Amino acid sequence: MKNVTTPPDDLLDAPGDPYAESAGTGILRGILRRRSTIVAGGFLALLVLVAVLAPVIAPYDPNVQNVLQRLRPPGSGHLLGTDDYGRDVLSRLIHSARVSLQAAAQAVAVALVIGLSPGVAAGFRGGWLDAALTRIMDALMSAPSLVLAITIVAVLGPGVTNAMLAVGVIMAPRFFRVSRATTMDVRHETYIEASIALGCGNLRTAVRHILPNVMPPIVLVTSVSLGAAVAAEASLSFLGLGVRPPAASWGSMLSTASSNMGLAPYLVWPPGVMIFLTVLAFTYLGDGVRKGMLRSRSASGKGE
Amino acid sequence: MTWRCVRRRSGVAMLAVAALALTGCGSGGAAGNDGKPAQSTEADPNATLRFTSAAPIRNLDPALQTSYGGVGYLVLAIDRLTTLDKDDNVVPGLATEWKFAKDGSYLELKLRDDVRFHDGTVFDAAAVKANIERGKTLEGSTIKQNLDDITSVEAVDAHTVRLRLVKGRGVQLPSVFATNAGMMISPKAIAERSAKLASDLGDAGSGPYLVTSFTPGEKVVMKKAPAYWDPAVGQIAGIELQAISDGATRLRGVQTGQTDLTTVSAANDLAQARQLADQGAVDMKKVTFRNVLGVYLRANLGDLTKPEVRQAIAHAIDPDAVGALFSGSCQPNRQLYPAGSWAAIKDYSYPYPYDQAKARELVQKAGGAKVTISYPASTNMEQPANVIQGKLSEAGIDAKLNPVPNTENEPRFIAGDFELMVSASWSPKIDPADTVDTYLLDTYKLATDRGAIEPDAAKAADPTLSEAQRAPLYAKIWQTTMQQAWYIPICRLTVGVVSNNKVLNTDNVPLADIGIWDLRHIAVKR
Amino acid sequence: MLRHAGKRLLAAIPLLLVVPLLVFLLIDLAPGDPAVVLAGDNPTPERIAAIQARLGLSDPVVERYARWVGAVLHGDLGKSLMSDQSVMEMIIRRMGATMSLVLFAMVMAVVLGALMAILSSLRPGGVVDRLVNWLASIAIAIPAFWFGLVLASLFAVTYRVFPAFGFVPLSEGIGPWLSHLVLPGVALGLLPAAEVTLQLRSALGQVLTSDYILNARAKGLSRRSVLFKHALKNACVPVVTVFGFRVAEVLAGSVTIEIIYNMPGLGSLAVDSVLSRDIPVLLGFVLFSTSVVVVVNLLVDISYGYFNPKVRA
Repeated sequence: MKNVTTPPDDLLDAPGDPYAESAGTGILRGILRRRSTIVAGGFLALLVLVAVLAPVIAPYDPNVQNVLQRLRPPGSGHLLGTDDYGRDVLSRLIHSARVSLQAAAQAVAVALVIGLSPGVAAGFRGGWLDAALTRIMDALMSAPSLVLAITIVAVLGPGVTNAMLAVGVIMAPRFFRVSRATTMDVRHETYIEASIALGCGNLRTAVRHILPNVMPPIVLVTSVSLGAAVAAEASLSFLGLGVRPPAASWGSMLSTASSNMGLAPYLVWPPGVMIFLTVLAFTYLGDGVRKGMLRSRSASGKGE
Repeated sequence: MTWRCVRRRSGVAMLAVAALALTGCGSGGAAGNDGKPAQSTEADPNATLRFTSAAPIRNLDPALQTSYGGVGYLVLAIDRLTTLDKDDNVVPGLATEWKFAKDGSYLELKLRDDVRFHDGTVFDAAAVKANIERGKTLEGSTIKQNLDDITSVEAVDAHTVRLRLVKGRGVQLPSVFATNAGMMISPKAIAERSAKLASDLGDAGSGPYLVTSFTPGEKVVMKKAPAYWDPAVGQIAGIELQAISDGATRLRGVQTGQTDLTTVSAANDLAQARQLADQGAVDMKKVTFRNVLGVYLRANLGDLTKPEVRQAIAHAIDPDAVGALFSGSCQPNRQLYPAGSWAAIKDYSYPYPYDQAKARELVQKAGGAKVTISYPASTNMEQPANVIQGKLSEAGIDAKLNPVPNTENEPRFIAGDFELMVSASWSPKIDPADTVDTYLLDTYKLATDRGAIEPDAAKAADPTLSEAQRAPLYAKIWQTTMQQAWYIPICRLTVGVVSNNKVLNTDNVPLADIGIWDLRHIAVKR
Repeated sequence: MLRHAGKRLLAAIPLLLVVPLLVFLLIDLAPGDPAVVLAGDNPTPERIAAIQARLGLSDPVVERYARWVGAVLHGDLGKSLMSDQSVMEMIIRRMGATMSLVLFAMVMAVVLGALMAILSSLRPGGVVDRLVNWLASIAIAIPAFWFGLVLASLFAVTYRVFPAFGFVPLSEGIGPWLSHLVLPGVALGLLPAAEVTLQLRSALGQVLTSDYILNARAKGLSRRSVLFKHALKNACVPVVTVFGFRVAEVLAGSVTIEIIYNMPGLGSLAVDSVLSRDIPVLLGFVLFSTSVVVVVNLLVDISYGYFNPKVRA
């Protein structure tokens, strides 16, 4: 269900630049140097715009049925045809962008919350806390992810929010690993030891000095995870565990397509292509961020 | 002593609740005279049939079936005392005749004298006694209730058996014996390996086929039994029955030649099957469901306690929209008994015809309404539920859909977990007293105002009354049920029996109209 | 080496205990009582109560968990609540389809991935290299279940090249086995194949520019022989790591694929067991798949020693 490859660990685990601000602008410049990144970012920005403006753009109400017009192939009245309740596919596709993006954001937010601060804490404190947290995260990682998600959804009931909570929990270990590794790497840098020696509290040190180092690799994991979450939401909705009817998501639209494969083969393309493009865009964006970071790092004579 | 012969033309009493699983079967093929086509000369005795069913069978013990879906598998391997033909008439099975005593104190069955179980044991009165007693006493028996009206069983002679009845009850038994409650297994197997039958039926039955391999919930493989008393039945060498819950997949199987025969009843699948049939890619026969597709309401939960809200829901539902979904193959049906039945209301019109304006007005009067629509997920109820949700929203009701695993939908509604359910489980029973008990007063307990129907129900259940005397009482009960909107009948679905062109007799599949299938007459072309 | 493996194995034991506990707690919170489902189409309160008592469903969670762990230590995974079959037998029976599918996908990933990576490494930056890179990046974004649907509609319904659904065990002949696996296997294997391609390609790129290889080249060895004799083995380390991760994800992906192709595998078993609250079956599945992941990771660990002698302790 995690459809997106995680970049190799060596890059993520490399220590970040302590001078967060300058690194940030450097990275940004690095990122914007690549055309594919700009295209991917542009596509995603457009998608967000479409999602926000869905009610204005969509030609029809996505949930209004017209059973007499069911399964009409793409044509002048309905650009992408109608589904098995006679609803306009294009309108549902547009509204689905909303559901899918929101779902992805929810999942990644959950993963961030569950993964990031425990990761920093584990890397910073070490000892039993680290051992315990690592063990739990390892357990989450080796559990069969989709089944765990299905179990969580079965407990909480179907619905996008619940499904994404499940996906977020499953993705949390990635954030944990990256933030823990980065924290451990910078933990013993002189300026951090100095900060502690100067009497700065642990929390203050963590927030002021460690977090800026952790953020760049986290941004990268976030971008890749957003793509993975879009795919995960699609899988769960396809199985009927995600979005609740009559609302649509790309995954549930594929499920409709699958049960109408014989009568309406055209239904399988729009949602599939949208999932594909969105995941691809997030991957390219993540890739651009990674390469941008590398470039800025090597430009400032660090890293590699 | 005079006998009253009750070989009446009757519906399928107890199978009633069923049909969640909804594999219907239809029938087609060679001419059937009286449901029994002569052995076709074009049939290939060495053929194997591959059938796919929506419903799985989890165990093979007829006394331990928890859902009706398993019955279709079992009828091929285990004979019943009576059987049903495709028009729901109760016809002889292992019992050739059945008569009630005039005072109703017992039911006497004449048994076939030429039947042996597959293990060689002779079928006789003692076997009937052993089976009925097992059904009444076995731990976990699911047919105990069905046999409740029988107090004891006595053998009159080797091939005559008398069932002593609870006073004034048991009129439904002959039709009950056409279900798994009337299935007879070898007394030898009962004595030696009763507990093992669930996983290994072996040669305990006497049906036209023998189970050779069984994978619970997935697959049953059968071969033709060496000899069978009815030569018109069991015309193929073997049958492979596989459970596939997804209708589109089952259809794809027949279309691509991977399987030979299946049944579909979901809107999309029916529409596609029709298209394939028009193209000549598959063969389809249609059977109308006995069960009614409708909406169950708990008038004592949430906003449904307000009569205006229930009335608004009834007004908002458009049977034509549901019908359109099924491409017209859901016959509008707004009564609780099929018109023509003595228990149906004469000169009837539904009190809440489709009227969105009226519905909206009622919702406004009630100050808005909120309702959750439960339905069995991924079944043929999914689409009607969606259409109903759309219509309720149109009427200004805040309607949410709640897909529930198929196995849980009905039990949890009965347990009172849901306020509103879309289901095709309403099955008008032979005797309306049974219908009142099952849906209104007991199991489903839809009658929240019991006082409104209880006196009439008690009066009407008097066995000494004639049908003409009982009919007006039931008419009153049905009127109240509709008026109160405890239940909203919508239409009757169609089952498509889909096969490739080599399968014969697909128009003679008994039980198809309640979502089960009896493949005993099926043959395969040479 | 062996000690290292032994330690890893010991460390995995708490993992194998924690994951089922998690599932136990989760399922316990879920609405819907398996006893209600088991009671069938006509449940009576008495029948439900009797079933609850027989299955011990009314005992506290912790007690049920302890009982389960005790039984598992004796090699007993319990019986399905729904069909009363031994869970162990169910898993073994269903394993065939899932393992065949995963095997097909992984073999495809390695063979196709290696082929593509080697092709593109022969001339870095060339047309082939760019094409491979482009194709692989695209393949990574294709959702497996969508690809599965498209393949089914194209190659099973429109052109009847392969069976539309189902699974045939290997014992019934390699031909039928393979023909049932091709469509779902390709759908499932595309993503890992793309990943192996990208990983191996970048690893090869690094190795080929390393001093050690440049030395070998300087000694007059051809690019091709350097590639096959030296570089490939060294480049395998990151690939094997990715491979280890992927097994878990391919297992997860097999759930939707098994459902689309109606394969009687573990994935569909797991989904069914969650929906019907068949706790023993779900736990058996969770234990099984966690074990697979643990073992694969262990194998990955051990294989480092083979591919890169420096790791060998």
